[in-house]
Amino acid sequence: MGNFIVSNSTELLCLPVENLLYVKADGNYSLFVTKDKVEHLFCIQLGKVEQEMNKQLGANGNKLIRIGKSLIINRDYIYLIDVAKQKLVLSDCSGVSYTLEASREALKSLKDYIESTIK
Amino acid sequence: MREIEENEIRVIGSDSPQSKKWLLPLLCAVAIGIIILVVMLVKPNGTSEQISTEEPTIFEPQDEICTPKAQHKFSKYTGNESFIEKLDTIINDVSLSIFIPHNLIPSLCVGQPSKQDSSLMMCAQAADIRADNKKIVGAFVLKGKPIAWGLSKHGYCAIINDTVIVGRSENSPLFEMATEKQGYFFRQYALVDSCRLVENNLKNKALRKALCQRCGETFIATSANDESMHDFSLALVDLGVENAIALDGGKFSFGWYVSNNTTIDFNEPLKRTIYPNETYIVWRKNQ
Repeated sequence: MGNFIVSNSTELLCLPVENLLYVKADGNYSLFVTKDKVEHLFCIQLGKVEQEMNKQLGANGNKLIRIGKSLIINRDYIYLIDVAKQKLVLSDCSGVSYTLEASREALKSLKDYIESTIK
Repeated sequence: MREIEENEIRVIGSDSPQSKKWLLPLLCAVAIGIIILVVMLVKPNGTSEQISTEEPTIFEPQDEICTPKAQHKFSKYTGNESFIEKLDTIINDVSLSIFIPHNLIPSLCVGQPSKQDSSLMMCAQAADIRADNKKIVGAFVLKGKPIAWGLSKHGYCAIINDTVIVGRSENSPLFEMATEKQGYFFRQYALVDSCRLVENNLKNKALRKALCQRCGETFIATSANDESMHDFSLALVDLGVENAIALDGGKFSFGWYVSNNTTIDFNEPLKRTIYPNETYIVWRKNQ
């Protein structure tokens, strides 16, 4: 999928997309988490991150999914979607695991979408 | 890019939210599209009693809006005697007999009338009955009492205050009026509507019978030979009939009129099943 580059006036972050686990919004910041457990808080809004991903990756970015207002995840690392408990577990199945929260409807949509791609 | 909602997901690069919210409007749009398509495809061919709506042309003679062609009644009789006047004519190679009741009271009845009933001067089968449940087809009012409901054919006959009214309408207030005024009402195929031929999908040829109105005169017209519904209706139009509906015809239909104290069948009686729900329009002497 290639690299995703995001920058502001003082920083530039370059990430191989296949290593990106998720991006989480935190106000005007976005927390980038990679599969090697590296977390980097970057001063950029999540909406802007999504725009840049669309711009740079286009259709090649279809592994990345925006979930609600505060998450972008890499679908390759989805381990568990628990709609009832509103939990989403991302894991590389080799020791890295993150449990995230999202709305039930969004998780249901995500579940349906993942199911639709395997049929 | 549209702002994403908390309950939506969006695949990067697709620019389209993967939420079920899109599903409802999409399904609605598809459903509306299908309905419009079905209506457009079915309406021109699928409905019976369809009036032609083709664009007017220069050389093809056009139907005129109803200005009754007939200037006078068929019958010249103006006396008080109660009887059935029979006239024969040929229109467009269609042999027709016309039965005009004079000074008789029209009504409807359910069940085959008896030829022994001396007050009866003419009767003919009116509404059809369904092949599956043997019930009357379409709305039917018997002396103010509705005994069948529904619209299967657009033509109607209402008898209110001993006056016959023939017409074509999906919803006729005469149904309610018949119930209020102890009248009668039934439905049949419309053949002529305001002097214009009504096309019906029935293509087979059979002995035809119609209840007609022309120049204020109500009469039954029958074909002497098997005719298509179209040819029969066209003959009625050319006869100057303003409104007409079909009456149950065919060789198995039952009906007769009195002439010189003799009952004469409209067509040769054939052995057939008699159903209790057979309906008849009858003309009786005022007793």
